[in-house]
Amino acid sequence: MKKEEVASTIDHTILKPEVNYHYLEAVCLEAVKYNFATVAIYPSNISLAKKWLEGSNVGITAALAFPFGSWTAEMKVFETKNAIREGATDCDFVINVGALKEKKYDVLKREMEMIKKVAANHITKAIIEVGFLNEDEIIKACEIASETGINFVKTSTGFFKKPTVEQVRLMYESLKNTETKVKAAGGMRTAEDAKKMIEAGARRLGTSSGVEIINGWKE
Amino acid sequence: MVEKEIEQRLIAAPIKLDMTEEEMRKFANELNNYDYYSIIVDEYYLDLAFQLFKKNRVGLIVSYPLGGMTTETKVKLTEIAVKKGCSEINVCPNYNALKSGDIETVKSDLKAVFNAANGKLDVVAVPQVGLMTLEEIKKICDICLEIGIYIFKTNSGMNLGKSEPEHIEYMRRLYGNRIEIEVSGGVRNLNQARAFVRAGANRVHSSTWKLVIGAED
Repeated sequence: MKKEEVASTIDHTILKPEVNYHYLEAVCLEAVKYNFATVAIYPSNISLAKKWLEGSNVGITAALAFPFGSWTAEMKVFETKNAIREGATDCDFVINVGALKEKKYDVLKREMEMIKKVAANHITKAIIEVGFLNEDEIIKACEIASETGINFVKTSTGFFKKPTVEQVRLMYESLKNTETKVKAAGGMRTAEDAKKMIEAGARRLGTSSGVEIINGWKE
Repeated sequence: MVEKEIEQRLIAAPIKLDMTEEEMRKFANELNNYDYYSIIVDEYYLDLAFQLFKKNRVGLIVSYPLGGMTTETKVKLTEIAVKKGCSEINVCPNYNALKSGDIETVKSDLKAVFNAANGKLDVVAVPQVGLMTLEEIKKICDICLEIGIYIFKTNSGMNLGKSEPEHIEYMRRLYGNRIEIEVSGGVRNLNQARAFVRAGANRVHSSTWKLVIGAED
């Protein structure tokens, strides 16, 4: 895989409360320089990022219902609409993991349908936080997401456990023959880490180490 | 043995990524045996919390723990809290703005939340002391006091740094009894809870609450 192709899969992620605008700007400028897919940021920073990304093709991923996902569908829809109004191109929302655990699939289906509806012209990514799930739960979450037309199922927020290659492969297998793809996020630091996730089937990578990954990539 | 002094200051927060209704019930069954101060939950569990917990003090987290939601989202959550009859909200300020010296943004964000609360509930702001310099802690507190927010929860736990008794002493030295302090992030047992209360904490948040109030050793 060529460097440029890898770069186009990366959501360059900066979700740290302790950084300042200079740091955020530097991350955005890196994304422009390397032609990453998007920068993944807090909704409160979207309007700033828009300014720094002006004139580039880099999108803006908003981290929504972040990081717990324990919101009603109505609240998630509110935040999604708000982020889109601010300028988000991609909507990464944390699903209701507790509902999945209790097999309340109607709760998951409803929140995904409602988010998909208000983000119909945007890219939607459902964060399922695989570190907390067993295989059946991962498969079920992928099934509901693909049925609902969600664009990506994303492994993790990055705040809890990092995903394994096996989990990414399981998601890829579950989503084969559907339009929904896999986004791997959490714990990727090197080109080698990224390569393993891509080989397991990831088509988008969420990482704060995008620059290291591209610089270390061997074609 | 349970220490009354700490028990009555306890704020418990059944908040985690994979929280289920069943776990919430279990949590309530245990906690209801004690004379705690209040509980804090996330938005999905508000209605259930009002049903399950014996006290009417139920609080909502607002942009917790990262502070990165837009002002509109923070206001919306605050409005929900008011509508549902919550006793308090725990709101995280815009930390990136604070770290950038963008005081206007920090202020207008918190002011919008404070106005949405409309005096109907306690607004508790989180200075996130584990990530801030002493000057930054003072800055947040000053902004809050100017707006009318006088209750502070030191930290949010979640690997975002720890609170130390020195943080409480510092805030007390600056503001005396004009503020109320809730300690959070780093209170794991009864001895630590005592040390924080001695340093001036009014209330204590902990995820290991049974150890903290002395119900377990």
